[in-house]
Parts: sequence; C-alpha cells; structure tokens
Amino acid sequence: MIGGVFIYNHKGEVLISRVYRDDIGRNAVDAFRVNVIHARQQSRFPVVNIARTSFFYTKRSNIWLCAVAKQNINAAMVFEFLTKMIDIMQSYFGKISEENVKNNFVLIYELLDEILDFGYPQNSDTGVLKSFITQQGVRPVTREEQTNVTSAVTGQIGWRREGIKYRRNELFLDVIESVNLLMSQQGQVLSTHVAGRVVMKSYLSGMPECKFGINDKITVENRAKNQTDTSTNGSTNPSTTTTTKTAIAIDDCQFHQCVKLSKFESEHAISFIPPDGEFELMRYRTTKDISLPFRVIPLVREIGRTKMEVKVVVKSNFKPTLIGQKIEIRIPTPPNTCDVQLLCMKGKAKHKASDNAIVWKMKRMGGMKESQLSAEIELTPNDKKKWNRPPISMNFEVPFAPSGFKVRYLKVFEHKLNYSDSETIKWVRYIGKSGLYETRS
Amino acid sequence: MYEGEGKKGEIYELKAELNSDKRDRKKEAVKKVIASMTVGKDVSQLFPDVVNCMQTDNLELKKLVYLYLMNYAKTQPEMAILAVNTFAKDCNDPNPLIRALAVRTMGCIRVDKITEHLCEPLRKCLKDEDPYVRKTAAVCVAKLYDINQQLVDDQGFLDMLRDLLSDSNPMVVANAVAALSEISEQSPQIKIFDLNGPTVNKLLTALNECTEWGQVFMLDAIANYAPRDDKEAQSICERITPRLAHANSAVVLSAVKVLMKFLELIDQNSEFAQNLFRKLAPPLVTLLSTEPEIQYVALRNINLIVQKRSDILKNEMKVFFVKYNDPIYVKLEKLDIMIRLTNATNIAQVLAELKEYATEVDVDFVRKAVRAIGRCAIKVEQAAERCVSTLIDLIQTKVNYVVQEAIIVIKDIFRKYPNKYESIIATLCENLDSLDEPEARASMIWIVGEYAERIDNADELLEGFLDGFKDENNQVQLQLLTAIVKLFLKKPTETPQELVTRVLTVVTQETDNPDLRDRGYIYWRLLSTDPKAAKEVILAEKPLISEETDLLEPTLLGELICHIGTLASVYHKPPNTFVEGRFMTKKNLPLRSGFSNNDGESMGNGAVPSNYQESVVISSNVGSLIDDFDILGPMPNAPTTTTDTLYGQSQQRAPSAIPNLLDDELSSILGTDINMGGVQTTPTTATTNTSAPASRLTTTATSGGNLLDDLFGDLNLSSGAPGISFSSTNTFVLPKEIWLTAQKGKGMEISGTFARRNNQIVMEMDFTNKALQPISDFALQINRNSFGLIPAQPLHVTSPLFPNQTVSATLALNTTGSIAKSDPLTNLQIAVKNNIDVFYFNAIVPIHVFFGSDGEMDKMAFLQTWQDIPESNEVKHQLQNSSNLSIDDLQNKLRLNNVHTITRTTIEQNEMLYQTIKLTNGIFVLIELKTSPGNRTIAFSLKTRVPEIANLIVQSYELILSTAQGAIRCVRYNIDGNYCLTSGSDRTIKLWKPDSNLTIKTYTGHSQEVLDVHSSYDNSRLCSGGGDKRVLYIDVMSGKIVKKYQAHAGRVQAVRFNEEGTLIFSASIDGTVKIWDVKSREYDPIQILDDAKDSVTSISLSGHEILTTSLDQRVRTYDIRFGKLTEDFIGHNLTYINISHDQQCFLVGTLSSQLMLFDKINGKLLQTFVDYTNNTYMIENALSNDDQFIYSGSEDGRLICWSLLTAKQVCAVEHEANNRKSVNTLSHHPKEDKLLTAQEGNIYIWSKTDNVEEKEEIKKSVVTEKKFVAPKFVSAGFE
Repeated sequence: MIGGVFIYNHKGEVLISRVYRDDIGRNAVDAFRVNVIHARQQSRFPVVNIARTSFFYTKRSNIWLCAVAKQNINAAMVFEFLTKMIDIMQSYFGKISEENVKNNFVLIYELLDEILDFGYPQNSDTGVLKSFITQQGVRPVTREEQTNVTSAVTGQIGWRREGIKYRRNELFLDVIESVNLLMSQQGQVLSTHVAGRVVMKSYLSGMPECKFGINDKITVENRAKNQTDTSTNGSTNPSTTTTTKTAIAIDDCQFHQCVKLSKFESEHAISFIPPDGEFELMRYRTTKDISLPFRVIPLVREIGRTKMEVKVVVKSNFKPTLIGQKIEIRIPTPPNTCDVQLLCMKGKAKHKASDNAIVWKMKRMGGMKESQLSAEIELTPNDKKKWNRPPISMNFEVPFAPSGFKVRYLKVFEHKLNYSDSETIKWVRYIGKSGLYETRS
Repeated sequence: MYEGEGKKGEIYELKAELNSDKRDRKKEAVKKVIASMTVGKDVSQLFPDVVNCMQTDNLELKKLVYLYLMNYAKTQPEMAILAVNTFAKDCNDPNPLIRALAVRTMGCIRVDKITEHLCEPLRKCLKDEDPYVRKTAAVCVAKLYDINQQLVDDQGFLDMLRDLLSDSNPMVVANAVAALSEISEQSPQIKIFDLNGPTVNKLLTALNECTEWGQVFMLDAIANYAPRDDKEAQSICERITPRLAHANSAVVLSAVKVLMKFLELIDQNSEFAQNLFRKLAPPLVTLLSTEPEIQYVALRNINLIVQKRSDILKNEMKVFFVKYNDPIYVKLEKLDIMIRLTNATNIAQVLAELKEYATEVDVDFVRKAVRAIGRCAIKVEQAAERCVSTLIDLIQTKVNYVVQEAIIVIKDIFRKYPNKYESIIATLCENLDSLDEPEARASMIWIVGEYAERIDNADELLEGFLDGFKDENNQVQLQLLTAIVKLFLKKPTETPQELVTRVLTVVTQETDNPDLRDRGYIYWRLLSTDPKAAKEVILAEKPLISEETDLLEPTLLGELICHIGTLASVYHKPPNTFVEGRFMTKKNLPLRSGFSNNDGESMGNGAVPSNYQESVVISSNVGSLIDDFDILGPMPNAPTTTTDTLYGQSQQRAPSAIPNLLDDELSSILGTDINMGGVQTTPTTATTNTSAPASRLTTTATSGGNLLDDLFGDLNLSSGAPGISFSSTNTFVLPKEIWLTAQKGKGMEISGTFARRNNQIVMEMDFTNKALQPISDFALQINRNSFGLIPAQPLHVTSPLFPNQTVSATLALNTTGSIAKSDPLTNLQIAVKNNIDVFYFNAIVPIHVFFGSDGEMDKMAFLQTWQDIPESNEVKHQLQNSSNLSIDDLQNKLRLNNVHTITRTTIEQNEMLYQTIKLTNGIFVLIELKTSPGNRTIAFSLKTRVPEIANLIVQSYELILSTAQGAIRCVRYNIDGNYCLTSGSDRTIKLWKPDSNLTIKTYTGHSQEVLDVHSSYDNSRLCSGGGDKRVLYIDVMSGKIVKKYQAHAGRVQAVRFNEEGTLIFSASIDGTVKIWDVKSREYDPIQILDDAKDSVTSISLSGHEILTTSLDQRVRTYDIRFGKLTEDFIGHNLTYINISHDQQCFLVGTLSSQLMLFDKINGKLLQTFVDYTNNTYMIENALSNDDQFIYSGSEDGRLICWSLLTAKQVCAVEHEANNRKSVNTLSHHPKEDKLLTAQEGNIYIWSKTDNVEEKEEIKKSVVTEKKFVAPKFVSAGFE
C-alpha cells in the first residue's frame, strides 16, 4: 500500500512529508526531487520506478504531489486517491498553492492521518471529514455527537448525517454537458462524444429517498414494454409513444456512491439518498445522435514563405430562439508570426502573440446564424522549424443538452417527516458546454 | 513557520515554549517542531518536552504530538516508553475518536518494548462497540504483523481479524480484508486468508455498502479467489458487474480484473460470457475521460485487455484517437492500442489519423506513428499498398527521423510481402546519406543486399558503407558483411568480388567482435569450398514475419491480467521484477478444465505454491523427459551410438529396474538404452560436455526425487476429506482392478480404475505398501496413447506410505497430450515412480470415460451424418436387456454416461432411440436402438467413421446396461406404507409400489446425489435434499418442482415435513437446521437453528419437538412450544436419530459402532446396542412399531436386529453372501412388520412372519442375472 505522501513546491522543497511505512526511507524524498523534479529531461510518465521504489505523481499549479510505494499496489487507486486528496484540500482551503499548503500544514497532516491509515485509503468524503476535522480543533461535545461522527465515517450512509432540517425543501438539478469534437479540415467528424454530469444541490430535510428518471433508451423501452403489457389488459397510454422517440442511447454512466448500483443494474432505476448540499449525482457519456451546436470551417492558404491567409467561418446550428454564449474561437498562428491583420463581422478578435493564437470572442450568438473572420498573417522567414498546425479550438455555452438528455422526473420520498414529493421545489437547468471542440486546420 | 532557520538558540527557545503553561504557546511550539521535522531538521532532542504535551484534551495538539512520536520513537526507544501510559489511557477514553487515534498511532511506533504493551489495548479495540475503532484496530493488526509476526500469531489476532470479516459494518469488513490480504501476501506459506465460498459471499454483500476504497480492497481480494466451478464464477461475475458503473476508476479496474479472471472459467461462447464482453467495453472507454494520470493507468491496462481479448473494444477505435492536448504518455499509449485494434474495416480511418500524427512535433511520438503505419501494412494486407505510399510521402518530407523510421518499417514490409513493392527502392536509395541511426542504416543495407540484382549501383552503395566500416555500429557491420556476400553471390562480377575480399579481410583480421569474425569465417569457408551451398545458405528463403511482433508472451500476459489496476499492469512486468525481496507469489489465470478438482487446494489464494516458478523454468525439460519416455512406445529405432554413451550412466541400474510388464521387444530396448531414473538429461548438454549428465544425476539424487513432482506442474489434488464420506458417481465406474501387483512393484501394489467425474476424466488409484519400509516420492507419467491422455496435474500421494498402509489418490487427466495409436486402442502405458524404482504397467481405459458431454447433435445433422457414413461402417449387435429396463430408464441411464438421445420414435410398437456419442477426440458415433415389447433383446446398430472403435462402444453399452445405476442413498416408506421412495446417487428420486415392484414415477431436479427424501403426510408433496445443497419441494402427481431452495452452504443431510406439510426442516453439514415455510412466497427460511458446532446429521420430529444429532456429539431437543433447547452430550459422533413410538426414548446411531437408547425426558442412557460396524458412514436405524425391536444396517453388509429390552442381538443377516458393502439406509413399515433396506443399487424388503424374516428383491435399475434365494432365518426373539 501507499508508503508515504510528499508535497513539494516547484523548487523541489518538501512542504509535507508523511511516511506510513517502514520500507520508505528518508532518502525517498530526495530521490524524487533529484530524479523527477530536478531531472534534466522531463519525465515522460506519471509513474516512475527509482531503485525499486515507485513514485506516483501529479502536479497542480507548481505544487508536486507524490505518493510512494514499494509494493505492487493498485495504481489506479493511488491516482484516484491523489485526485481525491486535491479535492479535499481545495474544499478546505481553496487553491492548491505553496502559500496555502504552508499555512495549513497542520490541517494537512491531520487529514493525511485520517484518510490514509498504514497507506490504506479510508473514508475520504469531504462532507464527512469536515464534520470532525476542523481547523479549530474543537472536539464534539456530547457522546451522541461522537457516535454520529463515527457512524458517519464508517456507516452505510456515510455521506449524510441524521437530523437535517430545512424550512423549504428545495432541490436544484444541473445537467451539464461538455461536447467533445474532433473534425477534420474537410468537415468530416472524426470523433465526437458528450460527457455529461448531473449535479444536484439538495436542501432536503431528514433522510429522503429520491428516484431519478431520465430518457435513457433502455429505461424508456422497459417502461414502454411494461406499459404495452398492461395495455393488453385494457389501458393504453399514448404518452409513451412520444417519449420513445426522444430517448437517447447512453453508452455508459457512473454514479455517486449514494446510488444503489445493484438496483440500477437489475431494474435500471436510479434511486438514492442524497448527500446534503451540492454533489455530482451521475456522469454519463453518449456518442450517438449528438447535435453539434457550432461548426467551424477553416480555410488556410500559405502564400509564399512569409505570408498566410486564414479565413474562419462559424455556423451555429440550433433553434433560432436559443442563444449561445461565451463564444471564443482560438486560431493558432505559427510562432514566427510578426504581424496579423484581422477583420471580423461580429465580436472582437485579437492576436495574442504570447499564446501564438488569434482569439476571437463573441458574447452571444443566436441559433442558425453564421459569422466570419479573415486574417492575413505575416511571417518572419528565418524560422526553419516546421510548424505543425494545431487544431482550431472553440469554447461556448448553450442552454440545452446537445445529447438530447432529459430529466423525466425526480421524486422525493421521506417517510418519517411528512413532506410529500409535490411539496418539494425542484429546479432543472440544462447547460451545454464545449469540451475539447477542435477542428483541424 | 518555515522561515527562521539556523538560529542558534532555536531549539532552546522551542524547549522553553513547549514547557510553557499557556496552551496556545505550547501548540504553536509543537507546530514549529513539526514544521522543522518536515524540512528534515533534527528535532529529536525535544523528545521529552514534546511527549510532555501529550496529556492534553486538545485533539489537535494530541495529533501533532503523536505525529512527532511516530517519527522519532524509533530513534529514542527508551523515551518512547514514557508515552505508553498515555496510550493505554487513551484507549479507554470515552471518545471513540481518541480511542481510534491511540490505536492508530501505537501501531506506527515501531519500538519492540511498546509493541508488547500494544496487545491488550488492541485486543480490546478489536471488540470495541464503535465501528470506527474496530476498523482502525483491524489495520493495526497489519501494522503489528509488519513489526512482529510471531506476536500476532501468538496473541490470536489473526483469528480476531478473520472474525471481523463478518462484522456488521462494511468499512470494518473492508479494512479487515485489506489487512488480511497484506498479511497473507507477506507470508504466503501459511494460509492466513483462506477465501472460501461463504467468505466471498460475505464480501459480495458488504461490497454494496462500502466506501469506494473498501470496494477496491474487496474486489482485489475476490480476484484471488478460485471459484469452484463455472456456475459460481458466473454468479460472482453477475454480482460484480454493477461495480463497472462506479465513478472511481480503481473500483472499475478492479472489477474488470475479477471479471477478466473469472471469464476464463466460463464457456466463452455462452450467452453470459458474450453479454459480459459487451458490458466491459463502455466502462473502459469512460476511463479515458478522467485525469490524464488515471487515463494512463487505464490505457496500460486496456493494452493488456486488448491483447487478451481483442474483440471487447474492436468497435471503439475512435476513442483512442489522439487529442492535441493529451500528455505525451497518453498519446504513445493510445497509439499502441490503435495498432492493436486496426483491422480491414477501420484501416482507412486509422491511416488518415496516423498520417496526421506523423506531422506532430514530439519526436518519439512521430517515430511511433511512422512505425505504426508500417505495422498496419503488415497487419492488414488490403491496406499495405496505401500504407507504403503514405510512407513514401513521409520520406519525401525529408525530416530526418521520419525517413529513418520509415526505412526501418519498409524493410519489414518487404519481408512480409516479397516481390511486391520493390519499385520504391530507388526512392529509398536517395536518402541513403541522411541515415545516421544504426537501425536505419542496417535496414537500408539489408534492403540493398537483398535486392542487389535490381539496384544497378548496389556495389557502389555498399562500397560507400564499407569505407567507414570500422566506425559503424555492430549491427550495421554484420548486416554489411551479409549484404556484400549476397551481392557477390547474385552478381559475381569484378567489383563485388573485390568488395567481398575486402570485407572478409577486415572482419576476420581487424575486428575484435567474435560474432562478426565467426560469421566472416563461415562465409569465407562456404564461398571457398562450395559456392553452391553458400548460395543455398545465404540466399535461402526467409520465413515471413508475423503480424504481431510486439505481443506479450501469453503466460506473462495471463499473469498481468491477474494484476489489472496494479503497478505490474502499468509497467507490464511481473511484480517480482520491481518489488523488493519479499516472498513473492506468482498469479495465474485460472484454467477452465479441471478446476473442479482443486477446490481451493492450491489456488486458494489465487497464488500457486512457490515451486511454480521453478517448474516454469524447467518446463522445457519436461518435454525432453516425455520424449525419453516415448521411446517406450512404438519407436524402436530411436537409439543411436551417441545416445548409448549418453545414457551410459544409467545403464548399470537400468536392467534391474524393469519389471517384466512390457513385451519383450520393448523391454530389451529399455534394458540397453533408456534412462530409467526419471532423470532429465537433455542431449544438447550431453554432447557438449559429457560430464554434465553425471552431475545432474547426483543433484537429483540429493534433492530427494521431489524434483519429479515439481516437474509435472503445480496443482495438488485434495484426496477426499475424512469423516463421513459418500462417493458421488457421475458416470458408472468399474471396480478397481489390480494394475501392479506387489510382487512386480517391489512391494507397492496399485489398483485403480478410470472414471469421469464432473466432466473430467480421472484415474482413481489405491496405493498399498506391502513392503517393509515406507515408500515415498510418488510420481506418475503416461505414455502417448490413442486419446492423448495426460495427467492434468502431478500425482499427489500422501507420502511416506508406511508398510501395510493404503492410500487412495485421484489424478485428473486431460486429453490434450500427444497422440499415438496404442493396441488395443484403449490401452494405456503408465509409469509410476517412487523412491525405490520406476514401474511400468498397462491399464485399459473403459471407452465410456471419453464420452464428452457436448455430443448433442441436431436432428437434421444426425440424419445427414447417418446417411453420409457408408453402409460398410455399420455394426449391428443384439444387446441383452436383462434387467428389463424401460425405455425411459434406458435413456436416462445412457444420458448419465453422456450418451445423448437425439430423438425417439415408435414404429409399429417398436420403440426406437437415436443417440450420439462424441469422443473427446472429436469422433462422433451414431447409434440406433430398437426395443420391441416383450422382447428382452435390444437391436443395436452403430455407425461411425472410425470403425475400430465400434466394438468398444458395443462393450461399453453392455457394461452400462448391466451395471447398477448407482448406490441408493435413502429408502423411505410413505405414511401408510403402501408406497416407498428411494433416492440415490443417480440424482433421481423414485416412487415405488413395493409389493408389486412397480416404479410409479421418477423425479429429477437435483444436480448431485439425493441424500434424503420425505413425503408429506397427505402424500401430495415430497421434499428432498442432496449434495447440491438444495432442498426441493415437489408435487407428487405432476412431478413438478414447486419450490427450490438454495438452502444451505453445504450438503443437505436430512429433510422432514411437519405433520401439516406446511414446513420443511432441513439439516445440513453446514451446521444448521433451516425451517422453510412452503406456503410463503419468500425463499428465505423462517427460522435457522444454528446451535450445532458441527454438521447436523439427522432430524427427527415428534409433535412439538425437533430432535437433531450433530457431529459435535450432541443431541439437541428443541421444544417449539416453550422455545426451549435441551442439549445432551453423548460423547460420540452421532449419525442418526429415531424417536420411539411411545415418544419416551430416542435412539441414536454413533460412529463408534454402538446404538444408544436414551430416555428423552431425563437424558438417561437406557441401553447400548453393539456388535455391528459403523465407523464411517451414516447408518440409519429403526424401531419396530411396538418398540420391541431395534434394527440397524451395518457397514459389513448385514441387517441387524436387537431386542430392545435385553439389548441382545436377535439376528444378523447378510444381504448377499460375499457382499460386504455397507447397508446405510433402512425404513420400517409404519404398520406392518416390514423393513426396507438398500445395499448398493438393490432394494430389499424384509418381512417378518411369526418366526421368519423374508427377504425379497425389488427390481430396481439393478441387476445381475442371478436370482436371489431369499435367505431365511429363525429369530430367537420371537419365541
């Protein structure tokens, strides 16, 4: 298991060093510094083996996070753990920076003591940790509270404590999708997928059980089938025929640990007791029938060795009533660019020499519209190095789910406290964002 | 806090602050100390001062002090003792957080003196009421084990840890699993974490409620479990599949690992497996949208999975397309997987992508992309042309490293498709000068040499290279030498000749490299002595290169699959290559065949014993050993003079070693030529160094012959658990016959037989030592034979075998060995070795063990095949249906022996059966059976393409039809005695009308032998229990199974209805009695009586009481009305209980050959009945209806009757003369003085007239020809 965890600043100075196992010596700290941080050639792999000791590392804004092990341990788990640790630290003190780590080193040690025992990851749920690891160091007073804490850490519903009360039972659902696209310069879609997340903010009293329904093809078909079964007994439901059409095929989905996976497997029902506050209920991925909100058509012409002409057309491809926002298109330019002449119909465009790109921003753009930018780029001829044209990338935000994902229902049941599903206030919002949205030029 | 280093008085200042009265200052001071510690400054002088701060209520301060302690305790062991008291106190703190903190920290202080004090608190914390403390304590055991193994053993912590596996809190279970896994990995020689079915079940249940990390621990542990059979593997897979949707990639990968491993055990073509394959793809793809580091781990694993099962991701090519912003390690890995997934359908897309990548900037990546294009060409022939033209395009770019890489792959393409793309050579030659890497230069030179005849200026080109010969890399030099010789052979003109002379001179005279020099000399000699031969050698046809050059070697791949998710899978190296010193076990994928026999014996930990590696290393020698042994077979011309000298060593002892078992011709060969000692001497070592075999011989002698065991593999077979044993028979088994007499075996006698159990051919043997000294070191080898039988595992015989001792051994056989026709076809030559000698003998394998279970055939296919086989191959025969089997019985009986009935028709009152048999070697046999009413002969005709086996099949039919179907396990009268029920090892239950010998109905539904059956008091329902752990509730009329309870964790020994027929009581060797409400919809028992400490063997009901017997030597009486349990300790292992008809007494059978009668009320022993044999089996007993007599079977084949009052034996009668097989079951008629007993497959009814008991035989599936004369006996007791 994990033998130790180290945190370094960009210079390679140790900020945190916590060793869990006897087989990790003091020199391990230095070995990593010398062989990875100060290495002349940047290491090309996130796992390195130095003198039969394996170092797993990741870097966040100049801070190196490194886990060491001498055994054949579960590598996926180590990286998941490091990611989780970053999440925890961020939720405790914000951005991971040298400053913050130094100021909170006592807290970090305390956390490391709790979430890793002899190198085995333990409960690492931020909500639960915050309930008993506080910067104030105040101990829970009553006995009852203590058992609450321990049962939260080890309990079956580790993510929620008992006795939560709200005057207004409210919940918010955000369906956030990022569209990933790779398009060839000829306009052929090479690969596309939507990575969606359903983020829920729940402000519900007691221990509510929720049931979540989506227009997933399998669920909808199951339902349709059940209903046709019942319809043979006399009752028919015309609404099912309409929902079947809009069903989407979800390639794969993952759930927050609160979702009963076995139930999902057997009945395709998503039921759970939500944590209090904000959490990510599910993640999903679709690849079929994605409506691409924007299309970028590039035209690059090299005129001699010192001049280039670039023309980029952007088309929006959604309902004219909707409006896309925060549109930004990055058109890479060669490093030897010396001057750029820009002309665009809409929005603002600028050449950012430091990024080697033309950045074209539009605050908003309606559906079914088109806009164009043309640029003349002058180059200094002496640069010998070949320029491999990086793809044109794009950022945007649209108020719909490009995959066609729909929330069908979210029912709340709480048996002990008498509030019904209809009394809870529910909000649903769809956001389509750009993931890696690239067109090769 | 990190500032202010190097001040002189810093330590002093800190000391002062630490001793300050003010809490805040104290805390700040400790913080400063920790900060200094982190940066690596030595603050150990402050030890006493810091420890002083330990006594505090402030949790945060406490934690800091503990942190300090963990770091410095080791350097200051005497001081650390100071902390012990506080730890002990904290372990009793009312706050669970503090208790846990103390235990957690204590375990990290690696000071021996402290460790001793740790034990008591730890023991308490392991039983703490708070789960948080327990889960911490569980890990602490692992910590302690790391410090002091002996201590953990002595204190019994391991058992406590194992108990935690059943804890109610999932996180405690998870940590216990983690701790146990680690401990067992440290000491694999002891079985610390023995995973068995129930434990795995517990884990699977806890899995659903665990934290993500806990799920990882559990899945990793489950991956080490070896399921008993494919069904279990399948059910585990089903329960694990939901984990694939978990958000934590480690959970997903660990689940994938379990699935990939267990899929090995499941039929790949089954719908289940196919379904699972489909389910595996999406989660793997999803892993690619995680953090890049996790992606990297995922990709490395996908790389393995794709090599193992390429079709899982065959449709997912697009997700592996490289993104511009991917880190380089992700890019390289994706590229690798892309090539593996390339096929004819997606090649166009892939090629376009690769072309794109070849223009990137990262040199490594570009090189790999170029190489990938070449590999695509080699893999997909249709695309080769396109690939080549892409490569040519790339060469035109003149980017140096692209060109070099392209030339290297083009060389491979030339080798794969000779004479196809040579037109591009000219283009290649243009780039000659830009090549500066050895591999590229060597490749180019190879091309020039290979196609010298087509390149006009080949000589010039090569000459150019030759000029700088000495500066070239070795690889280039070798290639250049060969190329010039090739050129000369192809164009023996002047320039080349001069070149050859030059190059040969240089390499033979001016170079130090022996490889180069040797090659030079060889060429030189070849060219000067025989140019024709030189041409044949040097210009020989080259073997085509294969498509996949960089696949992992299958055994390594298998091992890595077992390590999915771990570092090994990331490095693609087995763990022992990068993990230090620890005793490593090697993991392997489970084998599908034969797994049913090694029940966790050797695979219990998923790891095989350490000698495994050894056996892998020398496995090549096993081959040579077999070769040696093959000379025994029909290869008399093998020995040559060299082998004579080679085996000279063994000649002296050889003649004496040979028993005269083989025919003379063979033994004469043996006598002179064969190495008898089972010693592996490979001819190669012998020819180079004659002293080698001698030393080998001595080493084997000293290493005690065990080497042979090791050689044969690693799987040991468990040889039947002691205690009460039943033989479970799947197909019929011939009785053991003596294969090797003691006289020929120098005191070792071997008798044996062949059987097919759980679809595996096994050899069952008894080894008897009739010599005076112990025999040990057994090993067995089989010669090549007609059916390719080879041992699936090494022979495991408990050794040493002491004089006059007999042990049984079972050896599973595979049919994957090499094949040589033996005569007769079913003959098998076997060699058995022990510490005395090697013995050879022959055994005949009954052909029916080769009948495969997969021999079913479609009706049409049957018809077609029947017609296709020529008339001349048909064999007709008349079979005697001596026991007058009905057509159903016939069919049933044959089906049990893997004879599949395809169809059944009636033609003019004649019943026709059409059957197929598939032998393990794939030969089909088609059979037609015709029975006519009233005729005891069956017309048999057979067709097969291999007529040699026809007679064997006929024999096997005769055998199958004439033998009993299997032992009868249980006979029961119904409530009024008009009917009786029997059940047996043929997995059926039969209903009889006993007086008319009539079978009324046969009930099926058990998958193993049926051990008990009971009918309800209204005769409408049956319940039964059997070796398959099931309890069935059957409707008598329809024969339908109304309910099927997967009731127990072990064999069900006894079942009973209550009087109303609403409840079923079942008793099992899992130690429980479960009560089932048959009217309820639930499939859970309504009550479980789990008081027994060992197997429950029987139940008896009387009114409101339930009486059970158990192997824990107690009779338990449950009074339902009062809810009271009375235990009577008997002092013997109890097998069967009966309550007297007056309900005052109970009679129990014991495994110490005595029946005991107790007063039920006060538990007084009333009578003991002796003089019969009952040591091994469950022998049932009965009381007569008037409670006057007591009956029991006996293991020596007798039925015994005692008078209850006097305890005198009234009579004892043998069932059959000369048959001393055990009589296990009996049932007394409820009204009359009749008894039902069974011996083997026969059922006997005994009726008592005034002074005579008669015996009569019921026709069952039995039967030998001879008619039994019912023995009569006069009973003295009746006078």
